[in-house]
Amino acid sequence: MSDQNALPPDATVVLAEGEAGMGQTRSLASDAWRDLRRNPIAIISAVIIVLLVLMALWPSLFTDADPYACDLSRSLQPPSSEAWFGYNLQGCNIYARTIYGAKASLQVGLYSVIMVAVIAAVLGMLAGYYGGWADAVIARVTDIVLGIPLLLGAIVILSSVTLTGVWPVVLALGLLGWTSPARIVRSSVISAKGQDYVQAARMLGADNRRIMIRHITPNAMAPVIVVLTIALGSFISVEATLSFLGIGLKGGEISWGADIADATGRVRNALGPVLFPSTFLALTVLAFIMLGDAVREAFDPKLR
Amino acid sequence: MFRYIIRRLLQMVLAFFGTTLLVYWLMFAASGDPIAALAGEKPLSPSVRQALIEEFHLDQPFFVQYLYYMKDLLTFNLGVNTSGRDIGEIVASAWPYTLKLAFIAFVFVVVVGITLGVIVAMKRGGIFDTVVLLLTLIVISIPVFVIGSTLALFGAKWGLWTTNVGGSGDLSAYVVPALVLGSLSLATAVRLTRSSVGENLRADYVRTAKSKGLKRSQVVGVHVLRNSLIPVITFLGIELGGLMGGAIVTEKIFNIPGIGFELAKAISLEDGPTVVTIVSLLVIVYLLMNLLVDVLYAVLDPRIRYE
Amino acid sequence: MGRHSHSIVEQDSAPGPDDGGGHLLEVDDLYVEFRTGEGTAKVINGVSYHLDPGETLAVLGESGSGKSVTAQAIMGILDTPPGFVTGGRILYQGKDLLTASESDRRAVRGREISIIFQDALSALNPVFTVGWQISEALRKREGLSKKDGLERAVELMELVNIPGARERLKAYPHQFSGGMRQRVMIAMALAQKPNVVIADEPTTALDVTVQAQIMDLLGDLRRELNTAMILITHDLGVVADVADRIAVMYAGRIIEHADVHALYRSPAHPYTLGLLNSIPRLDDKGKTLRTIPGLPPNLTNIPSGCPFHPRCRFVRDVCRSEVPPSLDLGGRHSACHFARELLAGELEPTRKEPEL
Repeated sequence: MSDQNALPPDATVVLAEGEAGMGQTRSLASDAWRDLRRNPIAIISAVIIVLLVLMALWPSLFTDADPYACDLSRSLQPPSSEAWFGYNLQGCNIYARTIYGAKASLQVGLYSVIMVAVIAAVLGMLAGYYGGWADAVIARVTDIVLGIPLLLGAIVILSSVTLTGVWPVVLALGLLGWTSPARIVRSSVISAKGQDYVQAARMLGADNRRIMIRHITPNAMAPVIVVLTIALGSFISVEATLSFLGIGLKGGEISWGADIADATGRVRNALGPVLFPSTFLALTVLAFIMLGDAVREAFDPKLR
Repeated sequence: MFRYIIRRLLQMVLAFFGTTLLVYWLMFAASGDPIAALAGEKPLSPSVRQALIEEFHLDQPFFVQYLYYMKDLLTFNLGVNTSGRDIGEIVASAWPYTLKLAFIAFVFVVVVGITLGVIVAMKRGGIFDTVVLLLTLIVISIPVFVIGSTLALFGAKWGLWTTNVGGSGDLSAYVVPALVLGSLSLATAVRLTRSSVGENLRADYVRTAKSKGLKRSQVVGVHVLRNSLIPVITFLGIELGGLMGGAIVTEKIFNIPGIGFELAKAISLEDGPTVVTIVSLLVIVYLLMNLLVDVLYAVLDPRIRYE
Repeated sequence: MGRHSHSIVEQDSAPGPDDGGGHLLEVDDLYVEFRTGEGTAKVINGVSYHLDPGETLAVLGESGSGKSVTAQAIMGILDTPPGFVTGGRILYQGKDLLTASESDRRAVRGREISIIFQDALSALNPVFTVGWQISEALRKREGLSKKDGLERAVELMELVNIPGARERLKAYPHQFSGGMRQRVMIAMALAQKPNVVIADEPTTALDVTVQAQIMDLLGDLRRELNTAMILITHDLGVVADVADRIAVMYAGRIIEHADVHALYRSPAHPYTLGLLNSIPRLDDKGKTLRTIPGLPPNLTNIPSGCPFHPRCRFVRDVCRSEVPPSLDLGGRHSACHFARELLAGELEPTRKEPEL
């Protein structure tokens, strides 16, 4: 679905183009690191991400208010000194809810990306290393997963699992989102396999698996990190979309998507309840995507 | 060319069965109790329960159930939902709205996306390029439902545009929803066109064309554009599949009774048969568009055609 | 820095062995820089050469010596940025191309001067048929109809010995072998009957056996059509049969310029001598092959004095401090302080030859 905000498979390709040839040498990596530290977009994104992590870990650093303490008598009160963003329809403190909402979003993003990374590493390595029928089978499975638009697939998975909390969404995103990183791992394995020293080591009877992993890791690292950073942003976006549709987080979590849905569904005249969580959500996704983009640019000398 | 298409067709058939099997399995078998998955938490009368068992052949082994289901789906015998409505009717009445919305969004993506992409590619590195790139990144980053909700909010607050399209026959009511629906594709199309044109401007054959004494407009308009549009057109083809696949969020926000709207409604009513059927149909549309794109790709790029 | 302070050509010296003025094409004291984030590379540092009707000049040099950049400057297809022409003139039939308007330059491209690129696979557009590409300029510039254009394309393909030309008109570049693709490239370069053809490493991307065929074809065509040719190559072996004169480039300068026989018989620059010694020969059986030690200089930081001095076997103190002028040795030129001594066989090496 085109409005799903799910970047893979199409958009990730655009954002992560030029992934081949990345991370070959140490000097390229240190050049890239130097570039990143000078890139204002990368710095701003990193600062936003650090703030979000702090919000997720210690929300009380940012607010004393209780996000669950709602009082209908305060419904839709405008911003004030004790509630900077005002109160929503149920009379909950919007600022507190927005701060506490970071936790679920980041959890979903992080856990899904870890799951995707594990699946992609295993399948990509199997396909690239063994080739032949293993590669063919994995390629067909990739085709099948790519044939399911991410949001639709997530809807189907979420309407059939009975878990609660962030785990159903993590499971759905993890099962559907691994295709592009797996392809990157696969091509890195294949190129590492073709390198002379790996072939030489193999002929000498060395344990080439270890050699492979040692040489694949630096090759695949940069492009995979780029794709995963961008995916983290897009997973947060998909989680919010699913929660907006009423099928995402179940059971008490404060979710920006659900809060936005509540605010748009019932009131069409109050800006605050929609705009504040929307801004936080957009900034979060933007920060990850911009950071991924900056890393890619730093590692792609062609674009300089 | 022929062999290429046949191979693609076989791959598509495989992907089609794999995908629908996966969807069907997730919906019915994965949850243990298929009736519960179909009907959600609603209490069911024994007769409805019996009807569901018969409709989905739940007394048969799983794989047989699936084959029956596919047979029905491919013969457009879509069955009834949990409240007894014919799903085929729901789909037939919803389809035109989604088509209208998707078509407007697509035209918008193609015209604005390619034009803007070519312009920024020619002015690479300039202020306009930087601004457009940043804007596309922002549009890509903001979830569509946020863009949609915000636009709907502004529209309602200041009466700028209709936020309740309903079954309106007035095309102008679809413009803002189409903008929302197409926003992500548009931003992606601009970036893709930009990088594709930029890459081709540096290609050796551009230098050759210039050496022939051709004008810059001829070099760019014929040689560069013809090559750089290959990936863009294939991307747009897949996007059309995505757009046609229904716009669940956009239709929900603007209250357009299309496919996505019906899907969202079925999700909230926990109407399993409708969800599975609509999702399977959308997957078919998506796969067909993918096949079309593969064929188009071969037509556009002789290197693929004579593979 | 002004270009004159860098010039290695003496003000009164002639640019070529048989300078008579009024050449067909003349490159005069050309300077080109590449400006990148890492600094400015002085790619061409006062290059001068000329070409008369019907003659073939070979421009020889390692990669990075500036031979292809000079050709791009002549064609006006230098990528700017990073490439900038910072001095000199390029005269075609007496008219300076560098100060000409873009439309005047365009009038020269293809019709008067055309170019054959090294890698035909990337130089041809992958999505158009070869017939379409060969006839493109004829249709767009000479006003030929599509049919007449394709007729001409068949004639041109036959001229460059592509078998079954008419049937292959509708084929795409990737359907040809490397050698045939280079023939297509040559046909395209000849389509508008140019007076000068620049062949920029036309055989480098090809198999050795095919290389000889393409060189033979270029030699035949040049005689048949009486086209003047600049043959750019790094391979001294391929030029002997085709070229009339040779200009040897090093670090963006012409360091030796001579008649082909004179140069082969007795090189007047240690670099040329090194190049000649590095050609494997059948009668050298048993001897070690000599190579030139070291690497071509970094163009962002060209060595002081003679740019070749760090690699030269005959290096003296003066070579490290003073840029050698281009010495007129009677019909030939060499930019070596000790060219006369070298020609006379009186120059002793100052360091041991490296053994391979």
